[in-house]
Amino acid sequence: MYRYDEFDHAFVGARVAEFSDQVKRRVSGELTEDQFKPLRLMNGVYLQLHAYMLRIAIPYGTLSAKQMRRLAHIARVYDRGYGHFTTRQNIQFNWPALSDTPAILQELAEVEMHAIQTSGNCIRNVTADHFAGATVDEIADPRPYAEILRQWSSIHPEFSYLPRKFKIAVTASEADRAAIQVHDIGLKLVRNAQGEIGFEYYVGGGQGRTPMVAKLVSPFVAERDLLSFTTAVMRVYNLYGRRDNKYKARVKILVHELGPEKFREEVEAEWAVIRDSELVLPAKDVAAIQAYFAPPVLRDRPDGLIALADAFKHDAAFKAWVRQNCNEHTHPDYAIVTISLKAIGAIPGDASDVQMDVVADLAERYGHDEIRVSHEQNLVLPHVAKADLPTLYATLVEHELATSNAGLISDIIACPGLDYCALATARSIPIAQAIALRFADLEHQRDIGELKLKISGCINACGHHHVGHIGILGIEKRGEEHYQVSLGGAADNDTAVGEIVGPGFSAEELPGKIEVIVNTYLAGRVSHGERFIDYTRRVGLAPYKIALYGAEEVAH
Amino acid sequence: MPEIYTTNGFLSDTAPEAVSLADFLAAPGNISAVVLEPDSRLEALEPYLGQLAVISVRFPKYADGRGYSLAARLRMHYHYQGRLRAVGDVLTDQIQHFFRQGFDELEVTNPPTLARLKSGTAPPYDLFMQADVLGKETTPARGNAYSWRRSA
Amino acid sequence: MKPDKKTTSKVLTANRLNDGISVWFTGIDWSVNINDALVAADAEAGSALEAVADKATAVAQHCDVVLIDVEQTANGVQPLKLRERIRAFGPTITYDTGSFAANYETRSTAANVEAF
Repeated sequence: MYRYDEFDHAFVGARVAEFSDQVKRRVSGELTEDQFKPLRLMNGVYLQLHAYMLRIAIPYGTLSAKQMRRLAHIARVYDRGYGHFTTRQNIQFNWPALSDTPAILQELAEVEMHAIQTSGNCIRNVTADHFAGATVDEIADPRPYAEILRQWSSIHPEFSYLPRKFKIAVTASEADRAAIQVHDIGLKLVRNAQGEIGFEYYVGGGQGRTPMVAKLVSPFVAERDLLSFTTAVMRVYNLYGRRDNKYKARVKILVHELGPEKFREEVEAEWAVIRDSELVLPAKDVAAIQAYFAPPVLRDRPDGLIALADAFKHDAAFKAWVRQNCNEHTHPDYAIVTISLKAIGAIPGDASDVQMDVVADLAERYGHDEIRVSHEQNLVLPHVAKADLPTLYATLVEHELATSNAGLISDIIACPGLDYCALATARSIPIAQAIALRFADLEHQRDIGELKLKISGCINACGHHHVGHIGILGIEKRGEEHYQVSLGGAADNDTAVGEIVGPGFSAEELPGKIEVIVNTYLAGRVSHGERFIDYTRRVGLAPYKIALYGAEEVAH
Repeated sequence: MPEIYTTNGFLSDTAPEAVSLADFLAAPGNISAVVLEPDSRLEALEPYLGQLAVISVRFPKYADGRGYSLAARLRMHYHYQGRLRAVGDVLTDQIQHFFRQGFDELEVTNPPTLARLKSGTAPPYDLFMQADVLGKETTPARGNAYSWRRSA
Repeated sequence: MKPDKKTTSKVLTANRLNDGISVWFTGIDWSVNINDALVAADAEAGSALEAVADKATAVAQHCDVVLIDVEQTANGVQPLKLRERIRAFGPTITYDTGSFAANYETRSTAANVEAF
């Protein structure tokens, strides 16, 4: 994985010094809150309902054991013993004191981490496929390109005061696990006829108040042109993106209002001037960054097959976990392990300091010192020998980290909602807990099959409800929490925005209604192989409406 | 008279009287200074760039970053050689951005920013992750010298 | 029915600058317990409260100072809005199980969670 060189250390060190000075000026009264707010936001410090919140960047979701241990330490020393992993592969702490943030940033800098650009109207943490570098279906590791974009976008003088926040995601797989089509820029690595690497370049996806699927702006942007083309997109957006209304300020609205053709023309015109400038990305620099991401040396472990077969014989729960939470690795003796942060009834994406330390230990002992954070708010050990899975599993079980629900209905994405967030209109976490408890039986969950349920506590859609197979949006209606349900959304290769099924429900009604929806699918699917999303695409919303509201209601 | 901050410190304002872009285009005459707004289009100005000694770009709100892109286009697309001035509500931590983005001088009105500049505090960064618009910065001596990295 | 803004009781709340923790104005100082708050009978009294807070305490050491609507109940002062109730009594979810219990500290009690 990437390691800071002397340049990075000095760069991040300067930022820590700058922010420490800003905090000092704020506390002394030299800066007013109005003046300080944009500065603290650019360092990931929000003021939420109960306290400050600090969002720390985990670039493309990749962490070492040492870094994870430092996060556990921060949770323990400066917070209340836990942290929340987010859909942008970051981590948030809910209770840090402002006066402690300089010390926290210093502790992070020591392990090559920071909170730069985790908020504000700038280019945010660049995300990537959480299986990158281990999965069989990718054409190259996407993370070196994410790292190059991360570096280039850091404290960019031209793009630090954009109309609105800006999110970039990169994938290199046929199966898109990074939800690139709901990002401001989505990049998919591809090879052209000559075998050269480039990018399918999507712009203008996003969720929030006006969800949109990104448009293909170029089918092939060559590797050498990554930074010049991205600069052209950013410059066009910075100049012409709307600044009169924050709900219309994302690039998706610009692409929509100009139309993809006109937007492409503007970008091409800008790009024509700068494509051969110093923004050209030299192959040697790409190679130098790629060297950091060289796959670990994995020795053959043919003992894995027998170990697994043996364990399967007497441990059905272990077998179910391997089936559900382990994915195929490029090396046949290894697996990619998903560690669920969705124990039934737990808070989606939350991990205690103890759990973080345990995952760090396991990564060191069995996982070649690598951990990933997925945008689905789970942790991943990308390189584990199959032979080590039984021991690894036993430790995970001890720490409530072994729930076999990856991709199932209880593997819920949920934003912090009104329990923490100053913007929220309704709670998300208790809803997620209630639904997971309603479907607690894992065998039943497996029978239901793949089902992505996503919950947001307000229209800003941090919980990705628009692209949930089942999406839930919490709103406030006459002083009460109220939940709208949408169906048929997806964030994969066939990205789609879900459709609202009908009038919403109270918090008490909701779990029962979700069960009605699931039962409608179970009764209607042609076979176990027809997933919830396939069935919903085939039949539309009509059967659900009838089941939820009655045939008569629907007819009216 | 506003004070003008440059990379060489504060100077008194020696710029000629400036007019708005619309007024300038209506009667360019011998006018040599123009003020651009964040939404100004540069195309019409192109034929006159040679006669302009000072172009000011207004930043009515610090959070409106359009002027940075206007500066990039003036310098890189149109090869404007005259003085480029940023005018408006500017926060301390933006000063370095302006100079890196091709501005030569700033007309600062924000009182804390003025106070800060007068106290002579050094700029926060001497290492950067992008090339500066005027190409004044050099390849960094520390760490890997990737193509996008620069040193003050 | 919406309560009349002018005639509902109010308390003054803020977040402390230093640690961000929610606090309520007692008439003299700020407390982390809403039940210590001085309750203003109506909007007019609320404005007077703001004026007192302005003079008496270091408002500069607090952020987002704002009046909120409350009612007096048998269980003490209750904000009318759910958002403000959660601000006053803490997250409605518990962290007292399994590996979360070890280092978790909370200022919300089970009784407060029950209030929802």
